[in-house]
Amino acid sequence: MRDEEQLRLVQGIQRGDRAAESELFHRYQNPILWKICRQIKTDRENINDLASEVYVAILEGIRKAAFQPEKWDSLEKYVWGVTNNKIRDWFKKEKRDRKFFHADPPSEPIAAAVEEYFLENEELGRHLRSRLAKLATQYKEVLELRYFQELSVAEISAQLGLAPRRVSERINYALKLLRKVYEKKNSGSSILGLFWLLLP
Amino acid sequence: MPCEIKNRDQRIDEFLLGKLSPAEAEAFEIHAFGCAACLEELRLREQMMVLIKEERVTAVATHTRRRPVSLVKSILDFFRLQPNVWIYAGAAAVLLVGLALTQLLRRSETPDIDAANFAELPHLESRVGQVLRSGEFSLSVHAPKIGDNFSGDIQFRWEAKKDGEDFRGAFALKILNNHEESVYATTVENGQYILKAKLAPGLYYWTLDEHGETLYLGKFFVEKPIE
Repeated sequence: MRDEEQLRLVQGIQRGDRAAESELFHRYQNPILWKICRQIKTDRENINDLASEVYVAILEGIRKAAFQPEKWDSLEKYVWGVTNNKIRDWFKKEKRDRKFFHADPPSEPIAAAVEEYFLENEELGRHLRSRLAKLATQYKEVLELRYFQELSVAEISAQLGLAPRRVSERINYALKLLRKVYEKKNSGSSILGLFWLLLP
Repeated sequence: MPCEIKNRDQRIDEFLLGKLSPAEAEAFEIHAFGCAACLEELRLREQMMVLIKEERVTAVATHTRRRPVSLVKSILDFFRLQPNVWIYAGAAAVLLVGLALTQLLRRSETPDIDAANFAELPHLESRVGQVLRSGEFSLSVHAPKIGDNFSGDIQFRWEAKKDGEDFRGAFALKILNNHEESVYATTVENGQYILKAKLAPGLYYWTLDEHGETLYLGKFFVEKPIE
């Protein structure tokens, strides 16, 4: 994000502008949930709790001027840092009392964002499963060698007797075939952004 | 805004395969927080990797049974496609196919026990049972014990400490056959995993990796014949 956009967003939140809060929520809901789900394998209730904690901490930090662009380089880095710290807290607390934050129930937009994120993942999984089943053997083979056996392009090239460039092209084309069917639905996010405005 | 990362595809792969240093991985995660295109691609490739792994495990589990059936099918398909050429040699061919089928079906009833699949790899044997990277980690592996022989589910269990505190983060658990081919890989948290997929009889090495570096190397057998 460009510096002036970050400043506009941060200053808006510090002024108490709900639209700026909504924009922040809308902008970072997916990366925050991606990082949480990637690092913590837990139930949806805990994900909701943790996402709520992250959003509250980010907003409080910005309101109290804990976020200073010159200190944090970028808003992304700040949001990532808060998310990372909250995940660390989760592991510490989970170890201590096997139960995460006993906070208030998550707000409706956060619960809806979590629900939407999981639905998107399920839909993506269905699409990929169907496309992988139809993928020609030569494309499936390179994907397996690259992402299952974790071979480098050079190693795949040696194994298949193909030029490295051909291997890269084949992998890229296979990914393109998988990507082709996946039409990401962004409309939900904007609706959730509106929900944020309705919060007390 | 278009993504400004050079060699973006390669970087995404390196991140997902744990090939980046912790600092590089952190920098890329921060980038993905502000780059919708990279985040979308990460989610797609992550899911694809999970599905490919699932599919490969199924393939390994059915490998022993499937091979004779596919051979029989191909013989039958060949005959069906060219009936006129073989009509006079039919009787002899049926006899041969019958003999072949008997042999193949007999093989399908019992798993392949090939001594070559139990041969040790000297360059790995010297490292088996050792914690290969200590540093901030200490690791106690409880299962499987070195050289355990399995015929059913395989339980993996370990305790890890990082900087003296219990570590519940993710480890990559990988299983290799004695040709050093990866036959199974997954991510495990909380130090416990039960592998329900059936592996072909043979010797297997397994590793615990964290951020692309191997912490531990163990080994076990599947359906090793009693000597």
